[in-house]
Amino acid sequence: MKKKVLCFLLSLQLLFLTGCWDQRELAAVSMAIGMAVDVGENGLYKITVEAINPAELNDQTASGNAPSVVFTLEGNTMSEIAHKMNIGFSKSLIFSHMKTVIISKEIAEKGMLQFIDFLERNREIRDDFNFIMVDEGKAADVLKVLYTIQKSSSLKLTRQMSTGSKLWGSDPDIRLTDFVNALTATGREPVMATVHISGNPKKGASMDNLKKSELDAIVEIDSLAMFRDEKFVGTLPIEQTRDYLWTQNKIKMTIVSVPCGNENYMALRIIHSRTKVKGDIQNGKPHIKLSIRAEGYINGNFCGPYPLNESSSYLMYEKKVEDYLKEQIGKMIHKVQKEYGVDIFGFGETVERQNPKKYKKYKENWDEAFQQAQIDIETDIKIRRAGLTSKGALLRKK
Amino acid sequence: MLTSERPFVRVRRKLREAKNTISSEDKQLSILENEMISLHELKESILSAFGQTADLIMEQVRIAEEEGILFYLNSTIDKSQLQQTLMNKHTNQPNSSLDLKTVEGIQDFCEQMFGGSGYKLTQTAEEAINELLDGSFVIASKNFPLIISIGMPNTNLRQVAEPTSQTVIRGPKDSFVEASSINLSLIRRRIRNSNLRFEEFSIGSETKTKVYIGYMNEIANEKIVEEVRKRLNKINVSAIFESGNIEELLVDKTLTVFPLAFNTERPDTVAGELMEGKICIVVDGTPFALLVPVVFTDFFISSEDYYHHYMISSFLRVIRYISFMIVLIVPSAYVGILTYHPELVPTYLLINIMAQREGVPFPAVVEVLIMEFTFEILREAGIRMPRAVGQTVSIVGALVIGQAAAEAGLISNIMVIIVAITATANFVAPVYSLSAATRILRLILIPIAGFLGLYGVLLGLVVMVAHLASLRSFGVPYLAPIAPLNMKDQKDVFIRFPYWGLRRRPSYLRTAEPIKQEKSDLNTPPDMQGRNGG
Repeated sequence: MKKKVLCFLLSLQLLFLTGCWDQRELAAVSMAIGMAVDVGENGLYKITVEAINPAELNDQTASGNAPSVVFTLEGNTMSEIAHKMNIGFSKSLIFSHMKTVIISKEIAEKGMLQFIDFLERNREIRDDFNFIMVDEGKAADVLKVLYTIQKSSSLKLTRQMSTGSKLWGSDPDIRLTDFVNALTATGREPVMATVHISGNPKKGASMDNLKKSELDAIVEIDSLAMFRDEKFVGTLPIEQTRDYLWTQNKIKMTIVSVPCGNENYMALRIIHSRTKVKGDIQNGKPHIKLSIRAEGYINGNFCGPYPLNESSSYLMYEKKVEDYLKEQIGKMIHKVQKEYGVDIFGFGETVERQNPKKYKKYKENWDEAFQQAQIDIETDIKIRRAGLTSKGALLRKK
Repeated sequence: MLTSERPFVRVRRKLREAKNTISSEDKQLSILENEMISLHELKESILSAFGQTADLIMEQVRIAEEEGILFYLNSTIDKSQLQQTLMNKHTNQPNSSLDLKTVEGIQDFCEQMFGGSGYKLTQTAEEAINELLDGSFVIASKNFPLIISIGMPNTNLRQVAEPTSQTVIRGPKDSFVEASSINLSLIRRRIRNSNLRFEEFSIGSETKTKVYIGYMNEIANEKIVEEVRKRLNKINVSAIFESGNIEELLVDKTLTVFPLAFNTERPDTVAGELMEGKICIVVDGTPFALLVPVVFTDFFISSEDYYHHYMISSFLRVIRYISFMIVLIVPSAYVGILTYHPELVPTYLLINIMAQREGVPFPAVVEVLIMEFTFEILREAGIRMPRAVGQTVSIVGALVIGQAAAEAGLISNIMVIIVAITATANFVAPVYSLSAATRILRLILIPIAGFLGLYGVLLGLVVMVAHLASLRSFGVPYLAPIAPLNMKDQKDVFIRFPYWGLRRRPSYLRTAEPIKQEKSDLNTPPDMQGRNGG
């Protein structure tokens, strides 16, 4: 019996000896919600961390102070800087809830993406934060721009990005893991959403920004940055970002405004879409076939005398949308092929997956092959409904 | 002293058996084994046994023309019955045709006079004393070869009332009382079947408490019944007051917080479980009967489940299991997540929690322990409190736990929610003994979570499940029918199948008759073609 009690007490010591080593009381930590990477002056990197002030983000405890604290440090590795942040911050930082990492254009142009290793390797950091490039100026400035609703810039950005990609397709929804996957694949080059600050970033960093209905500075989703390996090569405007998403089967919802002569447009709300990509190599040339199927309903119509209670008009509209989409997407792909020659679409991946043997020959210089690729686009649009009216008010007037 | 009493139980059982047999030769044989003692000796030994106790009454009476002494304990017999019926009307009647000096004569006399009133003929002073204690009066005469005792126990006890600790919305509203005779009748009334057997035991060398086991003869597993008998006979204590005493002495293993016998104050629960093949133990003096063998999942079943619609019952059962997990895990998970794994909390929730915990001076584990102990204190106080002040204390307690502590910055608001949901979920358990076990385990898991985080919580749960799997109740694995898994038994565990679908008794009970009911056709609408009175 004595032995048993002794054993129990000894095993209880295990708790005291080994337990608690990674214990961090919630009251002793700060949540790092966003990070910005700029080129350093003294060190390699200049890293800015946005740590939130939780009391300000809770309606009951808010007292009108700044929602987050931004602090910048320079150093040669991100790891060192991240753990040295207490030079400025009072509490220990946790990175597990980091929502955005913003890099400056300079970093992208120089291809200084070595810090990704830290982001990937660290147990605490998730790989599903938004990976964003800022179009001009410093990445750190983006973290400082306040916003009335989410208050903290990073929280706003992540919500803005997910809503944007859901409702219109303005954001490619690139997380770190997508970026890394594209970087390591031979048949795909990485892309990244790009933002820019519209307005005065200095004023946007002040709490006064929150008191206005028209903000002094606001972070806008701007375009799509393309990379060759880890180097930035150029951007696609936001309309073409959406076209890019069509090729990626990533359109959840969007609105297509189709011109129908006389500066009139018909707006089709897409509610369901699916894109299939087929890749093959024929006669030493990649053949890529995109077939896009989408369903939607008419959400605005100023196009001439086509009554929407007849099925022939629907067929006509469907044809118009199909042609329009085919043209737009084709234009965008052509532009990427000719101007940049980077396979951001992952066509190489598709060919590799579907015809691995044929792909092997092109594996080493797929980018050249991509530039020669023949792209066929098939679109199949179904218009299901016409909303609440068949004839619009302007047409009824006549 | 203790060991010398044990053969006595056996003698009593033998006597009872003898009484049950109709043949009078057997009766004579068993009685005439010993020599008769004289009236004087009897008086002496009764007096020496009881001393100067106030409730022992000795009266000189004339019985069938003979001088005799009537002994009884004022506190155990129904005196009005004694006065009205037997003594005045019958015993004074002379009956010259019988020779009361012989054993046969006295037997005939008793058959005529006391037939049907549970008389007993005894020989030794010891037996007479026991009869007195059981609520009989004892008549002895110089010339009688035997002592006559007639049972007339005091029935002036609490009436059957509504259950207080295991209430239901739909279902019978009667509950057991302290008198075992009433309790047995409540069971018998529900099962009108000659196969329902009760066996009497007298346990406790000093208290001689009556304990009954009841089972369905052709349903219950005879081996388990025999095991219960064996364990009851083995019990060797001086006093038994409640079925809880028996429970502790009867179960397979004592180093566990989990109840290994099911206690209930509901006769419908007992009747239902008897029909499943379980064995009930009714102890005189307590309204709580025991049911054995028991499995873990039994504690999530309320007898009401069988009276409600099966979908409602199934839903309620799932709620009970969830509540059990809430009580067990929520406080420790709160500690573990907040101290070690903040990444598991959705960002905005974590921001809210952080905002609330900003000013709290204690680590999460201390905070939780303070609150849980506060609640345990309030709860215990709530039970003991005089009813008149009950309301005041509960209001003060609610304020202390809820508002004041949070406003004073001792605890965070979310902690109040955690304590509240844990406390409320704890009351869901239909049987108190399991909810008490859960409370203890919860308090063990909290410090483990403080030391090792969710890893520790998981570790604790693994140990708990291993422990559960090691338990047996009268040979039945405690986790049956989940481990070992038996698909046929799942119809009445997490969800309840419709009543017509419950055709088998639990296989882990190894019942003598595994089929409960035959397959019956479902009802179809009657043929309404002919226009009858339409």
